[in-house]
Parts: sequence; structure tokens; C-alpha cells
Amino acid sequence: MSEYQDDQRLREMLETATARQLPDGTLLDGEASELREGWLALDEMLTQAEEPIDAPRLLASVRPMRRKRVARMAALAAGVLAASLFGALALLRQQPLEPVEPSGQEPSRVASRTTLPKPNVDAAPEAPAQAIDSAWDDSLDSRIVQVREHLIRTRQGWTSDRQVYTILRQRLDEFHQSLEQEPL
Amino acid sequence: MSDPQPQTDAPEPLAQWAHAHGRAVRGYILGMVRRGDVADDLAQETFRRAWQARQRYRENGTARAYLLRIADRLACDWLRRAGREMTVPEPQWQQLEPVAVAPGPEEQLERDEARQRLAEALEELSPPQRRVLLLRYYGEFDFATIAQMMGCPLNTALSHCRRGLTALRNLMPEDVP
Repeated sequence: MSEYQDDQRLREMLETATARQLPDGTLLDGEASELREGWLALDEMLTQAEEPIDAPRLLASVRPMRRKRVARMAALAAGVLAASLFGALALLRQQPLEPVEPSGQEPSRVASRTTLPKPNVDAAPEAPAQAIDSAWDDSLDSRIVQVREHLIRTRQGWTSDRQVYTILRQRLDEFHQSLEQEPL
Repeated sequence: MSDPQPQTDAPEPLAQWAHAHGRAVRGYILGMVRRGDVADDLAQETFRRAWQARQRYRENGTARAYLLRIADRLACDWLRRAGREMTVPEPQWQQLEPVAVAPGPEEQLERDEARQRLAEALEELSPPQRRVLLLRYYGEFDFATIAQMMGCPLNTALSHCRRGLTALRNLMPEDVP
């Protein structure tokens, strides 16, 4: 008998011996019968040692993917919210400057009024006193203080805007990194 | 064998697969690696990968065969990484964590004994013999497919199967019905 025929015979014998169920009336020769007994012994041992399966636990590593997706959506929503907040702050920053301006005065004019006039060296001794009097202007001084306070407030606004912007950038970077690691 | 078809967008088919084939997948891996904790991890990983690569399944036949191919690859990789043939001490084998709800004391005792007998029997088989028999048992693959999965000629796979069955038959003649 050729090697191929041997293999064919062995294959058929093993397929029969290891079948789940044998058709009724199947007769096995000596070796096939022994192999079948070995197979049935394995079947019995595996069946007896079998444990009930916990399907949710088997899928435990699949679930976090779903949670991650929710987390990403939340991060995206937070990013959009932060962007909206940033925009709203930018709008608000423009509006408060209006009442800051002293009534009827341009900021440039206020600045020019702060410089003292040149002393008149050729004038009479009384003249410098008049010049100093004209340099002091209480209303102008109060306007300068107002503008200074508004400048401070505006700067504070810029700082908080920058913080919001930084948080937004951090969120977007995190979102970008998580997308690179595992796409949606 | 029930063989639910997966849909690409819903996780439900994967849950059906876990119910229908979870035992076979875990049983196969446990037979190969013979460590309950590793079997649990690799079974989880099998289902994770099955879900990730679900598009490929449609070309490849039954769900159980698909899952067992993944499980086989994972078990072989793990054994290769472990770099040795695992021999689990008896107490460790008995202390394997149950996967599901703890059974009653009597049931647990019976299961422990069965597990011990199985461990002893599998210990007597060479790794390729074990692999052929477990693939045939859990996956119901034909021998040509098993040979292909093992990367060996058909007659080598047949030989492993024959010797493995003979060894099992010789081990426990009194247990055979």
C-alpha cells in the first residue's frame, strides 16, 4: 500500500474515531475502536472539568472601548463648551471699554493732557506759578485713575481668557492623542 | 452548532458568540496553557480581537472556527513567550479561579477531581498532540485545516492525533464507558 493510501486510511480512521457522533451501525475495527475510546475519555474529562462560562466577563475587554467612546464624546462636548466660553469672554471684553472713556474725551487726548507744558524761561517770576496752576487738573487726574483701573481690569480679563484658552488647548491635545492611539 | 451571524455595528453578536462559544474558547485555551488566570485573560483577548477584526470573519466560515483560530494563535504566542512547556503543580491547578458563580462544595469537589484527572492526562501528551486533539475537539476542524494551522504536513498532524489518542486510551482504560 502506498504512503498516500496509508495517510488516507489513517485520516478516515481518525475522522471516524474523533467524530462527535457516529452514525448508527458504524463498526470500528481494533485500532479505530481503541482510538475512539481514547477520544471518548478525553471528551468525558473535558466535559466534567468544564466550568460555566461568564459571558460578560469574557467581553470585559470589549466594554472599555464603549466607555472610552463616551469619554471622548464628553471631552469633545467640554471642548466645544470651553470654546463657547472663550468666545463669550472675548465679546464681553470689548463691551466694558465704552463707559471707561471719560465723557467726551478720547484716550489720546487724555494722554496728551498728562504732559506738563514747557516752562517759559523768559516769562516774569509770576508766570511759572500760573503755568503750574494750569497743569493741575483734578477732573483730568480722576479720569486718568479711571482709565488706569479699567486697564487693570482689562488685563485681568486677558489673563483669564488665556487660562481658558490653555485649558481648551490641553483638552484638544488630549482628544487628539486619544484619537491617534485608538480611532473612533 | 449555533452560529449567529455578526453585524458590523452592534456588539450584540459578540455577546451571542460569548454565550455560544465561550466555553469552547476558554476550554481550548485552558487545555493549551493550563493556567486558569491566563486562560481567562486570553479568552477575553480572543473576543476583543474577534470584535476588532469582525469584518474578516465573513470570509472565514463558522464563528467557532474563527474564534478558535484567534484563540489558537494567542495560546501559541503565549506559550512561545513563556518559553517553556508549562507544568502546573497540582495545588495550583486545583486553585484555579472559577470563571463564574462559585458552585456548591460537592460540585466543586467533583470539578476539582475532574480537573485534576484532565491535568494529569494532558500532561502525558506532547504539546503538538494536545494541540491537534483540542483543535479537533473544540473546533471540529478537519485534519487538513489543523495541519495548516500548525504549519506541518497532514501526515504529521495525523500522527500526533493517533499517538495522542493512544496515550489517552492507555492512561485510563477503566474510565472508558
